[in-house]
Amino acid sequence: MRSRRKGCVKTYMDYIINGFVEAFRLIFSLDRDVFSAVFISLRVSLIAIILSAIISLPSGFIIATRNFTGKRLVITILNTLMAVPTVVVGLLVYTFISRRGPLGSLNLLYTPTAMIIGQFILATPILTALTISAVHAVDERIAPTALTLGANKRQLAYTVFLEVRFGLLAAVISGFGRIVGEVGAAMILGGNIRGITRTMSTAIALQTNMGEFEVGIALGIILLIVAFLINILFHYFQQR
Amino acid sequence: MIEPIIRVENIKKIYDDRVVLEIPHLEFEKGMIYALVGPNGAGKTTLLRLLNLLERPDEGELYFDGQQIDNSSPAVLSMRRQMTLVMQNAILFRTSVYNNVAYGLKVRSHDKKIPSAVLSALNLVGLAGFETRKAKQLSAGESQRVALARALVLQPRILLLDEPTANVDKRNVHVVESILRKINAELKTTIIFTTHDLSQAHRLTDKIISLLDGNIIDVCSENMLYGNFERDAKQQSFVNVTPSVRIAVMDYEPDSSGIFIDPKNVSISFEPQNSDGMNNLEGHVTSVTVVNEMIRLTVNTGIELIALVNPEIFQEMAMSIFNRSVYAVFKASDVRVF
Amino acid sequence: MKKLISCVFVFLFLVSLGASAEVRLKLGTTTSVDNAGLLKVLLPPFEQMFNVRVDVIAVGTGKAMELGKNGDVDVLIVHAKDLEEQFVREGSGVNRRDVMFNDFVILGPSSDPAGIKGLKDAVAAMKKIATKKSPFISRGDNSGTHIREKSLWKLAQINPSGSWYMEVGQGMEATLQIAYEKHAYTISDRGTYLAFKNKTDLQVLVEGDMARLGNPYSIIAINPAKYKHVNYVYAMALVGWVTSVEGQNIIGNFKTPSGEVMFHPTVIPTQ
Repeated sequence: MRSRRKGCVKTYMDYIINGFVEAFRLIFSLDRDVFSAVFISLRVSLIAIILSAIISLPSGFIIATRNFTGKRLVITILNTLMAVPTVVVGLLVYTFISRRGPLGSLNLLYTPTAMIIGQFILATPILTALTISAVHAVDERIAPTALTLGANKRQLAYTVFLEVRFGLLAAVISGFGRIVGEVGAAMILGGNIRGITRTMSTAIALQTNMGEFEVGIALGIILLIVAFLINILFHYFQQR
Repeated sequence: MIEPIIRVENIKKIYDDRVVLEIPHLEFEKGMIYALVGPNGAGKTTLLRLLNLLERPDEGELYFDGQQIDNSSPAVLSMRRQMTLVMQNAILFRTSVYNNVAYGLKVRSHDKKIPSAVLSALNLVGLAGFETRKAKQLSAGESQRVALARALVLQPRILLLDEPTANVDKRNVHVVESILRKINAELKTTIIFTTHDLSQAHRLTDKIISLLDGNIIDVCSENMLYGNFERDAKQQSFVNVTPSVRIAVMDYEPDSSGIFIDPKNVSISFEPQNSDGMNNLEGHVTSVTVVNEMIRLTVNTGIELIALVNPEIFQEMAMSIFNRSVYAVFKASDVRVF
Repeated sequence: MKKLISCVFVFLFLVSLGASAEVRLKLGTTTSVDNAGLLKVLLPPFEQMFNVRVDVIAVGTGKAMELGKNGDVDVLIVHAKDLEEQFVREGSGVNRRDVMFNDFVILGPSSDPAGIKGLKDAVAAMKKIATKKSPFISRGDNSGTHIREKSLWKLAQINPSGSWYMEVGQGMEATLQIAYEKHAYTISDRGTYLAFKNKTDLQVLVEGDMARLGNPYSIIAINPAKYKHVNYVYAMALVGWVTSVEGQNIIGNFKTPSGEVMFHPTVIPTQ
């Protein structure tokens, strides 16, 4: 019971400190709710980024190495798509997969699959654009060098791929960073269902105001750690 | 007649509406060493890239072993795999030295040969023990030698090099040169390289090809001389080829290294022509041959000069020519400076 | 200069008099009550009559009880019988009075896979849903509706878990939306259901079991003995108002746009 007579500042500090203490207790005791949200976040985002990489990396490669009319337009469109707010992507997918939408009979809304679709759409422009720029950054002497040493077209492509492999890895990590902490699409498409579509970010967003402050802080700490790790990895691979 | 290993016919290469290379005819014979010389922008590198099938000529054809090949032929890959180009400032792949050197063998699926071939190639260029080093961590000189090893390991029929020793540290220049001599002697590799170093060209090659503004200006090394340039008090330019041989030229650049005089512009006379802008070198005729209905005279004036004269003119001088001194006469304006 | 300063002081004094003339009463209540819009018609006449400003703090039931426990409000209007009884028992509140009631309904798809339509026993209906493992959406947010749902499970002696039982941690409208999309069962207060009716195709499958589904609202004044600073006088004035003839009439006449009564007055039922 907090007495109103004590100074306001001390009361708020207690609230925050207690929140952190409880949060660490939740983390170290491997609290089920906290780690369920962590695993769902990681699982959804990993699947989305792998699927996106399968499409984006080859596409980016092809766009970067061929010359065709409208190439510059394609690159501009990709760069614009990177700036689309996550809620807009969520809304877009929602209109298609809700029961009232054209794909409603698939019953995809409020499932992890819907979130994966949303995050796939968020990640693909980033991965493609970063792949294009990594390939463009390859020294222009690499291709003639490979050719003069006797490489055929396929071997040349593989050689260029090896030259950019760290740049591509950095791109994938960067894309993962964008989607693992996003809340706009995950909320609209996932429904925050406990144990199924409740990610770290949706849990923090929707439960902090339910008074589950400690869970929110615990998840926030973990999400921060994930974000820092991603950033460190990204910069490490970009330097290589 | 033996078919030359490479034959170039009516080649033209155009960049941005500018003709950067125009060669009506050029032949390279098997097992010979050629140097392409000329100032920057003369088209040496362009010619190398065309010969390596990295680029297509806008006009004309290339013949390899008598067979016409260009970028679109199905035979281009197998032809490209018989030759290789070592570029100036060569770039290495982002991996170990070993993998770089092994690259050409890998793409040809010659995997079994790789370990021993790589080690001996590295040994040859003086980089034994460098196998595991990361290519990106080498110095410029070391990188260039790795690039050379990368090419040598393929034992190509034709080896093309763009300024092979320009970026190599001084003490390794002779290493590279002796490698080129060695593979030419042992493997009969045809070698074509570009260089700014004229003495290197003379040291190593069977033939020097000079290029200027995209054209071949001489297919032989005749009348090519080098020396120090200077201007006298009257601002007239000279080149000192030897302490006793001084040739007047029209003008020169700070980086000029030599001169060349077309034999057609050298005439023989018994008297000097002492007018402004005229060179007169006194000497003796040492040989006479007939070339394409013209008379080719070798005159020893302290340096050897070749003169190409009309049969009629020769007939007038004929008998006396060996008994007395003559003057090799040519205008300063006919002297090409490079 | 001195004259100016004294004028300023007089002015400030008068202003402060005006400010203190308006008494403030902090009312803690639930979002469903606030969202219904009832307070907007129920409170103004009270405010005028007693010259008081009521600050409505609308949060989830659990949070509202907490505010009461901390003495952060002066009076509560909530609908969580067990919690309320505990609240009074522990001495946090006094003078608890019934005010009004509405009810909960069990909603579901028209296909009714668990076959609960028309059942008069809400607990039996919940048993059938659990047995069939039919998809069920729970609010999972410790709201009044959630607390009611949990009590029904307890009566059914079932601990719901599994992929069919989905807790969403969100408000009633979002929960209805998710139930619609997933063709699932859920429990809702009738008021929100009526407001949301044309946005989903959920049907009322079980209703009328007033013992289990009735939703009574009470008003409780915070104990002045425990919290010396609470505005007890005006809290009691509000208790009197909502249970008065006029107050109860206003409640009974408060209807949805489609003409349905949202809250039935308990003390003085509408004729």
